[in-house]
Amino acid sequence: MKKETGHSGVGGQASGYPFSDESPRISEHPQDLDYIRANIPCQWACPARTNIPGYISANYGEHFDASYLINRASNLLPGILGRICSRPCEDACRHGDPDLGEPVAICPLKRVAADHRLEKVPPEAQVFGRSGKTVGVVGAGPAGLAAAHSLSVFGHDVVVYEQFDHAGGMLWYGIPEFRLPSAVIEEEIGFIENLGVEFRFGERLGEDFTVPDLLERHDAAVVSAGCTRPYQLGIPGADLKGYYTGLDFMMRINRGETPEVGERIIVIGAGFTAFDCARSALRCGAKDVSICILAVEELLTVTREEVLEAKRENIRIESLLQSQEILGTDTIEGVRFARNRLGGVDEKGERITTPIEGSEFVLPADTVIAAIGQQPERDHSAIGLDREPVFDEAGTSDVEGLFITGDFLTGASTVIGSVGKAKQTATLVDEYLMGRTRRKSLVMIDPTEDTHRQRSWDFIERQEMPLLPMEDRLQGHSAEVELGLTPEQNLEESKRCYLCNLKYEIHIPDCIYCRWCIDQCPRECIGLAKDVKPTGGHLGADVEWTERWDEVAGIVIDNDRCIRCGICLRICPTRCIYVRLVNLVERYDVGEEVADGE
Amino acid sequence: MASEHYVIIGNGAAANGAADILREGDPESRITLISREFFPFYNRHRLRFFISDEVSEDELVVRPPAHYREQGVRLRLGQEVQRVDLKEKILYLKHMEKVHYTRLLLCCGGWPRIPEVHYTYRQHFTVLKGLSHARAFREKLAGIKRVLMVGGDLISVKMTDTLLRMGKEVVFMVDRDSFWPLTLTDEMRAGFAERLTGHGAEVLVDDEITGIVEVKSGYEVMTRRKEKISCGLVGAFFGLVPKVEFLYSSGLDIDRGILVDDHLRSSDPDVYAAGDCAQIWNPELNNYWVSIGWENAGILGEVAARNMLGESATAGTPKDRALDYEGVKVNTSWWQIYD
Amino acid sequence: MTDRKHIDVTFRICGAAGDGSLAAGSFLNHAAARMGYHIMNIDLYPAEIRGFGKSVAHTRISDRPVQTPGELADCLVALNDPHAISELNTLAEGAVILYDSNPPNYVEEDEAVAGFVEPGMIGYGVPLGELSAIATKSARSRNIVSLGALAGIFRIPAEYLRDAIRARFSRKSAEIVEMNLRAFDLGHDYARTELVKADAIDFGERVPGARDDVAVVSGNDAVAKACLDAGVRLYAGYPITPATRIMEILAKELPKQGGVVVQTEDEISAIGHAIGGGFAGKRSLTATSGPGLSLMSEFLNLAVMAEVPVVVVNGQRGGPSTGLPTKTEQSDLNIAVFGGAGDSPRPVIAPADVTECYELTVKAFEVADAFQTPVIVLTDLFLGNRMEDITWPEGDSGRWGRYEDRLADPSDGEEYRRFEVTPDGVSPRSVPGTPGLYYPATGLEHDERGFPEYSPENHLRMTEKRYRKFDTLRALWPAPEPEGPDGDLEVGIISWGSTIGTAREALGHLNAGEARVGGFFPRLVWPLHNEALRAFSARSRVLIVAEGNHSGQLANVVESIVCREIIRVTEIPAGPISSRKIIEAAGGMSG
Repeated sequence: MKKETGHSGVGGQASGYPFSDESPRISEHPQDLDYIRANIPCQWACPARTNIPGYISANYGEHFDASYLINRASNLLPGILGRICSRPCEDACRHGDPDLGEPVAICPLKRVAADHRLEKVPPEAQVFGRSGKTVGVVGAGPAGLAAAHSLSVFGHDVVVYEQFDHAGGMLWYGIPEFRLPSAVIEEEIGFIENLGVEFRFGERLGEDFTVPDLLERHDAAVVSAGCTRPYQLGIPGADLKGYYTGLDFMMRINRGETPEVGERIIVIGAGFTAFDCARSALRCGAKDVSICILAVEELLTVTREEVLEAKRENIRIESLLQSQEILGTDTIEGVRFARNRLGGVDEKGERITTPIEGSEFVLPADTVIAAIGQQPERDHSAIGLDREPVFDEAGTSDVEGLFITGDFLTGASTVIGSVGKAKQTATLVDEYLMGRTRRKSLVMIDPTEDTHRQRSWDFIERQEMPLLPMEDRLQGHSAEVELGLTPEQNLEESKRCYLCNLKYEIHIPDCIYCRWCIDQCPRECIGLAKDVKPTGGHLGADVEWTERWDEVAGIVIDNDRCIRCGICLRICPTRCIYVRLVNLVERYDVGEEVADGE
Repeated sequence: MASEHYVIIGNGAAANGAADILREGDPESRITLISREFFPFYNRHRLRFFISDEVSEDELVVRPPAHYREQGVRLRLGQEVQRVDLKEKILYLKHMEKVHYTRLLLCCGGWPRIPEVHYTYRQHFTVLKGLSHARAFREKLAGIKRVLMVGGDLISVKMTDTLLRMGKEVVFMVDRDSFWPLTLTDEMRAGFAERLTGHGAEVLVDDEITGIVEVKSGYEVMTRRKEKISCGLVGAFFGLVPKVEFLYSSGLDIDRGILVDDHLRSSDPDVYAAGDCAQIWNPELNNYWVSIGWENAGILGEVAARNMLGESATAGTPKDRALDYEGVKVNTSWWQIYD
Repeated sequence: MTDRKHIDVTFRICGAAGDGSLAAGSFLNHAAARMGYHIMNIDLYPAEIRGFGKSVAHTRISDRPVQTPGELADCLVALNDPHAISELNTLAEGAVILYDSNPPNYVEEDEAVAGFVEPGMIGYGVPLGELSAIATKSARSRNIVSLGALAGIFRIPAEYLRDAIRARFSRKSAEIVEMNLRAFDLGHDYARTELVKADAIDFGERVPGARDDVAVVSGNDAVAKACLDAGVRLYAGYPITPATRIMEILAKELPKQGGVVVQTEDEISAIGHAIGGGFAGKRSLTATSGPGLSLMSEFLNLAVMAEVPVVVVNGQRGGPSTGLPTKTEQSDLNIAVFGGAGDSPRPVIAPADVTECYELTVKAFEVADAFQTPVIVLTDLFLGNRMEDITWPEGDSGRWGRYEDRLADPSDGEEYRRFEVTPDGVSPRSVPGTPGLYYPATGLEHDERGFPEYSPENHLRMTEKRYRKFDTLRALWPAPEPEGPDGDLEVGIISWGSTIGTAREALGHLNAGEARVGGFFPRLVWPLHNEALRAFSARSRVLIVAEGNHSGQLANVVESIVCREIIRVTEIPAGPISSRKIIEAAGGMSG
């Protein structure tokens, strides 16, 4: 009988774990990374590969400093992301699978760690000596900050060029204060400044300097200038008074202006910016705010909480609308829309909407905000290049020393997407400068005695975010609406996490095929295997399942379905079920030895 | 054809209309009705007479369960579909049973809408859609004198008449969103107010709730304009929303309701929708419309069933005025509001 | 079914092996009995003796004496859905179904009991598995959660059920007790807070009369205790359903009293051992079922001929041959009464309920001793396995006979005549080996001293002597007291054994109206009290004999005694007969 690990022999480690006398604690094997993808879906869904089960465990122990540091090691901005992250992790969370309930409130738990940590300044891991190399980073948005941080940790001298007078980019200018207080941004950017990163404000690429200038000043350049050029509706009437683009509108508000909005506002768009604009417009005194979307509410990508809060603030969402013309003379009087039909799916996976001929009608409005996204200003002549450079997916260009990253590379994405991409690019920049890969994702595998899980925790309901009462919300822009989970809620919510970084395994030589685990399993995740083939890695195995007892070679737990409830472990009469902790972590390679990145 | 299993979610006018046609057109098929409510098919628009004790529960029943046994229709009452797998054609019921269908008809109807702005007060509201609501309404009504009605929809105006006839005092706060999803002109709203006042209700316009406190005798409701309204019950009547959340994960096209074509076929070729939950494309209007009301629902159920049997029936044009309250007429198609 | 004044509820708790349905039923029985309710419980197993089959705890609880387990259930607890679905046809109109509202895994179409709850039934969904997991970290306490829910729904005083749980787990750790009580409380609280009561069953937290001396026991338990109390010294037996339970108890308890239990190689050997014990002057018995009784036939004849006291308890089950090993029947009357070769008289006693299983087993030993004869006690699978609330009868009541009573005195000096012809048919015994009281004991016809003697005169004299014991017994054993009204009857119902409860229920039902229906229920089924029987027959316009066999085994006997037409209610439904059958028969006749 081949065992899952591909190793044989019982006994070995002091813990009594029978598999691991030969298995390494650390693995780089691609099959093991595949295991993480299938089995720790939240962490894989996070572009920054945040160790989510790890920090939720810390939250459960109320080790908020540790939780904050685990977060920061991956995503750099836990306090910020704990508020405004688009939460791809929660969509992937196993607890949200059909019939298992709601996903764990991963994002709010991140915020708990940031809110309740004791250490105000996280100690910085200075694992590398100074390299003597310098890197210029363009843009102090999430991607620029993440790139600057990584490169600084690698020991390079970093200069960040920022066109405006404040670091943060979209965080600072694009997101309203009531969702993301400026003090939180200031604090977390301050941690990066503390590393010795130099910020030069009021310097705009293409106006104050060019890419060749940068490459002359520095050993490498990273352009993360974001997406600043708003898409236009491309319909008549955009020149009328009362028309804004979403970014422009938000920047005005975040600079402290109060734009004239009148009573009736139509926001066209379906992303976070559209919702931010609509909610901000209310706070500017608007009475009647509608968000007009091309498709339907169900297909919105913003979080459900965001939709609900907007509606509670009395914002309407009008669906299946294609704007055709902004009407008015001098000032806006309304928008002519056509009704859309929902069609199939385009090649990007988005739903096709088709305006219906003859279905036009007019909605009255005083202000129209077009929040339909931005694109990067990547004109090669504007940044001082004589040709369009060619980029690969990770941001390496065919211009010596030039890298691009963040939304400037990918087009408009999310904060966490930008941070994740910038970290990836920064590793390449370092590799370019130092000639070897000095940061790696590795899988750590440890036996564990205690699963720290109780079956009853599977039935705890998702904790609701405490909110500012409606009457306190709309005076000005700065009253934060979400108040953060309380420490009591934190305890309950962190219990909900299945801890998918636990891996349950049956040690087949000790199994007596009594079926108890199969009978008691609430997920039908323990099955009969005809054959178990090792894949070469230390974790995964190709299992050939069977229903027939006469061909059973072993009983195997399908960790992809397993919810880590621990019933099998507790019920097994021969105690042949073991648990290992599997964590995807980042490691820095300083040369002779490997240092912890956390 | 013998292997067809028609499953109808719902047990209202549309569902029953459809079941009749399906049984007639395909006598060999299996037909299953699944309804969240445990009570047999009953007359929803007579619920207010049940509340006023003019008819009994038994008198509400349109069709007893025996009818379905005779017709060879499996009636699953008190059972809830939790999600639908369109690819495998499986319904997943809340009590963890799978039901396989070959063709599915959604007649899941509507549910009382509580506008998100009123979420804070939702536990204080009494709503009225199904029999369970009516039972609760009736129970709460015993021993109270004064009722505050908020919102304004088809049911509420008729319910107000009933309450007044029962000798209750009625305060009616007409919401700016009344008759959602329709937008009333000021003139229409004034017409309503006038008629309600004429019947003896105290009508508040241009006002809104700013707080509700539960007290021993009922509720104390704070409003923006008036200081305090004491009442034994706060009835919330903000119209109905299609109960379609359980379909969200299926990938079916849904806007407010289930988007269907003129033949009531949804974006999945084997799934149809009829009644209050369907948002129907009408080629003549060049727009979607939503049926409101019992009579329309029955007709639409039959149309859907004919199409499921392979015929080609069309939903036709909605009736112009489904709501006619003493001369104030409101067009009930959702998308005509912008004309 | 419960009416407003009285509680009378029949529960069926249905599960697969390991679901704990029988344990839940047992808690319910004990708690109800302690509160002062009357119960009758019968646990139902699959036809196979082993395997992962259905098991159902069927319990009727009433504040009045319970005669039958009830035909249709008022409440079904579904611990296993497919099995529960197969039980739906056992439900009364308006029955309550309690099911797991959130089982962990999806089942295929028509495999969930919740899918079958229709108007006319009342379904209560309780997340049994979830609550169980919360309480005990596993799904194994779903039965306890469901019990809590039942208490919550029907307002059954919870403390008594909690006591029953405590008592059951008392040997386990305090933690296990606490976890199970928590499971109970979660079910109870869930029912109280989450369910909307829609049924009419309401115990109203009522305790009709707390009883500390109550015992919840089966017929087999009662037989075993009777053996212990009667001073049995030897049990020899070969295991067979449904009698094995008696052997199990005695194997544990008898040695404590200095007795011996021998598991023999077969039934022939078993009765051989028991006859040996009886011959030696010690109370002895064997217990068996139909197939075993057949094998014992010849040895029983020996005991008749050699006049050896021995008791055979026969738990009847469906036959012939191995037949229906797990289904009840009353079809061994013929072999018990007539199963001997030659003219072979032996008394046959059939208790009607659990209390009588005790009393009449004690009495069987007394009859065996007093009349120096084998005695057959006919119970059946239903009576042997069913549980009732009883108060153990007082110990030494009315003992008729002991071995010592007719012991010969060696100092008489006369020649010892072991088989002396006496007016009552009973002769002086001796302890084998007593000097001066030696005698041959043999299966051959013998003279008064025991020596073989084949003359027709002697054979007639000795046969008459053996049959004379019946006259003596009839005189000693009170004739059955007819039940029901005095005077002329429209219908007279005669029944025996465990069907007496059913007949009594029918009687009560029929007499609740205008009808005049009486009952004649002999416990001594052989020899019958012929005169009393004829008198009852004379009072009855129509005579019904109701029994659980196909050929009318008692009816045949009665017919030959009363010499008239008899309406036979002979049912073999693989379970107890329904009183409805008797009511229908009587209703049809009495018009």
